[in-house]
Amino acid sequence: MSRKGEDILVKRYVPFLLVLPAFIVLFSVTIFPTIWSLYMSFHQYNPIIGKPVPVGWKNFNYILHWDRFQNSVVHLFYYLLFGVGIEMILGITVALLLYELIKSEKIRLLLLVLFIIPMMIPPSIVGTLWRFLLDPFSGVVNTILSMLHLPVVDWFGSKMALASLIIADIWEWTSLPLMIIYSGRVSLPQSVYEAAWVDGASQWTILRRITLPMLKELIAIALIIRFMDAYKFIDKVTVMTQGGPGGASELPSYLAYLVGAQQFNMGVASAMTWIIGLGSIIVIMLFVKFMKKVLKSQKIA
Amino acid sequence: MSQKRFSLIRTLGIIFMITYIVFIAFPIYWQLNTSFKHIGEVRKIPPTFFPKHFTLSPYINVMNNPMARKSIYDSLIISITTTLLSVLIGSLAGYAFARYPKYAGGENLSFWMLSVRMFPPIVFILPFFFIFNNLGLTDTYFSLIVMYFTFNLPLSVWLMMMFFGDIPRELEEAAYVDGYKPFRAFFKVTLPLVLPGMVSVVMLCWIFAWNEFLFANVLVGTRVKTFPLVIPTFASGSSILWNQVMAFTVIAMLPPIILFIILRRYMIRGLSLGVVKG
Amino acid sequence: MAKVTLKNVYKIYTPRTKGGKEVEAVRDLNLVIEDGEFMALLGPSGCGKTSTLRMIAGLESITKGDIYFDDVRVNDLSSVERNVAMAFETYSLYPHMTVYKNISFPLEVRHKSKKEIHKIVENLAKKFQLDDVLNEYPARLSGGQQQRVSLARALAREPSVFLLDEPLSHSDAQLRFQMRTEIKRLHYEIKSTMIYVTHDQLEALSLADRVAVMNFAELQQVGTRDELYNNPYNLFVADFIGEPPMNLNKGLVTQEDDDLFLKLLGSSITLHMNAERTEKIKRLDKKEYIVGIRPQDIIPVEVPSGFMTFDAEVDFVEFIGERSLLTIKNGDLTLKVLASPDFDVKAGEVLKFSYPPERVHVFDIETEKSILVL
Repeated sequence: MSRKGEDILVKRYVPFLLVLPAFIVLFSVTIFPTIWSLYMSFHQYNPIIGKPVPVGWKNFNYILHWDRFQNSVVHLFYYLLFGVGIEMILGITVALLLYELIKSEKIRLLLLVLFIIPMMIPPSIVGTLWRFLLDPFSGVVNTILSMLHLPVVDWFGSKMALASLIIADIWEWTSLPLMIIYSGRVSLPQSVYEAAWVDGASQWTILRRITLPMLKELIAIALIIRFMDAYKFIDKVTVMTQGGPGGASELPSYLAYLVGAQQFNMGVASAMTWIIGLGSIIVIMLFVKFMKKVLKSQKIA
Repeated sequence: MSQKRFSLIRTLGIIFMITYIVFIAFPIYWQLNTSFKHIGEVRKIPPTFFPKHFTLSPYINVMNNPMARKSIYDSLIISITTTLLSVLIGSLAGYAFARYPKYAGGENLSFWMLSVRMFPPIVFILPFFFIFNNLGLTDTYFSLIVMYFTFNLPLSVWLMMMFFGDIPRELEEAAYVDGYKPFRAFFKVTLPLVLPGMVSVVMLCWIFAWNEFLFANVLVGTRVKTFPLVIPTFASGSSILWNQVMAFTVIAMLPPIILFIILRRYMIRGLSLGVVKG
Repeated sequence: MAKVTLKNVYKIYTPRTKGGKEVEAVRDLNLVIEDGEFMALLGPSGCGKTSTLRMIAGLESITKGDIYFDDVRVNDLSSVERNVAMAFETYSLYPHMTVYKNISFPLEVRHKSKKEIHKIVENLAKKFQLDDVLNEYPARLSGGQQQRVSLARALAREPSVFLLDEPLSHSDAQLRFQMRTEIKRLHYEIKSTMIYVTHDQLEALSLADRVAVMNFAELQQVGTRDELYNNPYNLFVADFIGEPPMNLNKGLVTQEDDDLFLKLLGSSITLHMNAERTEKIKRLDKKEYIVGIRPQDIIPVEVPSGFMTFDAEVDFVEFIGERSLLTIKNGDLTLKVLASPDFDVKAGEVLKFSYPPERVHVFDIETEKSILVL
């Protein structure tokens, strides 16, 4: 009798106790910053100068009308369109080509490992490496361009700085969608393809009607993961361009970092992180939605 | 006709693949190439595609540089401590989520934990900068360990949850029937099975902490200095000694890459966030 | 509709890794499937039947030999060009499409008009009782429904050959029974050439016009149910076809006056044969053969009739389905006998058993072939 009661108690409370440490840690590190930055975003505060002074919505008002912030949002859109966009298209294409063209398991694995290496390299090294490669005077890229009698490019000038960041980002992160799509493609059942083949579908139809639709949740997840990373894009900016020249390669997160951690203008910076945070919540919710869908479909299968 | 068209697409595909392979491999090749050259040869135009005078001196210089050595040492301490913490606490919660989802708080709690990882770090940086400053904890190991621990924990919880979920509950129940107490059953049956997964979680957490730049840039930088902070400014006097910088980057990126290659099977699964069962 | 001819067809898988052995999946296969015929390929797993089907489907290359559809050599044609339809063992439905879309997919890729597609799908849905689930996704269907969708999809266009790869192997007993009837009716209705792969002899014998029995990559015998049952060409077919399996024992040729018998080794049982077989044995002039007699063909008789009977002791009785299976003993020899369940018998009784001499099968020991084909 008592043994049974004990079991129920164990079942009821032990799982809770096991989750508790993780919960406490995550709760305390999220709740404090949330309250603090909400409070600060309605205050003017520079820890070097003095105490917080309430200013109402002034910080938000300032940010939304600040041309540097507006520009950084425009840069973010460029980055999403060209950076994330190319990463997705390139990743999907290479993943499917890898599966279709290369039949040897060994070579496939070898290439996968090669493709994933950039993701393993610390971002500050990626930034440093590309600063070296793209150096306008001594960089190997420009040297090769001039050897081919092509015009050299001022990679860190105001026109190209953002593009250079995007190139480095593509190099580092294309492998993420590539890997997700590749693992998804591998797990699709061969017999469905045989059925489509017998049904008379051409290669192009199979790609369009079978492969891509069956991978669509995974494609969405890969896209969202890359999308969220756009808000984290600070390290390579710091190492490669420092947002320059003249703010030409600033992204919202980097600007918030600059205003807060370099100029100690905590109020404006906090308001900015709130705007960024709200933007990312939408993306995270999308991610959770797709993730649940994929988990569910796997449980059925 | 269709045969012809097909082979044309094939050829285009192969060309595309080769271009991509070159795009990915060339920077790494150039990094290695540069790190084995004397500085004079690095600056030569046109550049040499293989070191004419192969030298290890950039590596020796880096190894003898106290700042470089100290930064590797700091990075090791911080990343190892944070990894142990996150895997330990994460495994506990992951086990509970996998075995008793209802009593452990359910899907919503687990997804909330995951979302912490996905939040832009910039949101957390300023408040923590403020609090660590007030507590006099900036520029200490502690501040970075806490932050990395927080950011690794959700990943660790989730991956452990998936790995535990892969092990059939019946195995544990069989052990109960054989007379094991739950605690012993866990150590005798479940833990050995989940160990390969755990290794991959250890590696992912460790690599995150080893590679991280942003928190380190804000929270430490004088007494404590991890290598990602040192590398961008390393050997940059009047003109940058790229051969030494590249040698340093090779040294710093080798551990994660070697670990990745050894453990690639588990890592690939972990990296795609367990989205795809492999 | 088409007649399918296989001429000296081989399938050899080359090893993927170095040092691996080549695997011969199909060896020198000759087979003609007439227009509109229902042919079953029957054999244990690994006998080459699925490889054969996949070569006919165009999913697998033909290593050597030729396959013709009517008079057209199809070796180098794709599945599409051969116009085959196939129902797969695992159903292979498109998981991301509704039932409607699954059935209409082969029509859409052939650029049929929307109206035409709609008509065909509606028609098939009615025929396969899928009207209610047209808008569901495959994951929500029962196994039987999925099976019917896969058949409907295969039938959506008019294929020249209809291929079925173990379509019932994942169904439970009741569903199997039901689907067997459906498939039979389907063939009756559409009168298309059908090739059906299975390892289940009951399925093959009950459905097909003719059955091709395969083993170890080779064709063993092609024939109707009766031909296979009454005239197995070799030991494998004799043993594989029929449930419970044929009694197979060594038999010694003995002569008494002008009569030839086969004396079963280890027992005092002597079996007579019909004239045809007796003649053959006289001509072949060997001492020993393998003698087979089906459990169904041994009949316990209560009144001794002298001729063509033997005595044996009933060892034990099992009830299987609607018959009872006796195990009988004579000397060291045991035989299985199928009797009707109301035949009242106890273990230990000694009975007389009769048999029709034309049902005594005789096989050569070395070649394992029936003496009738030697």
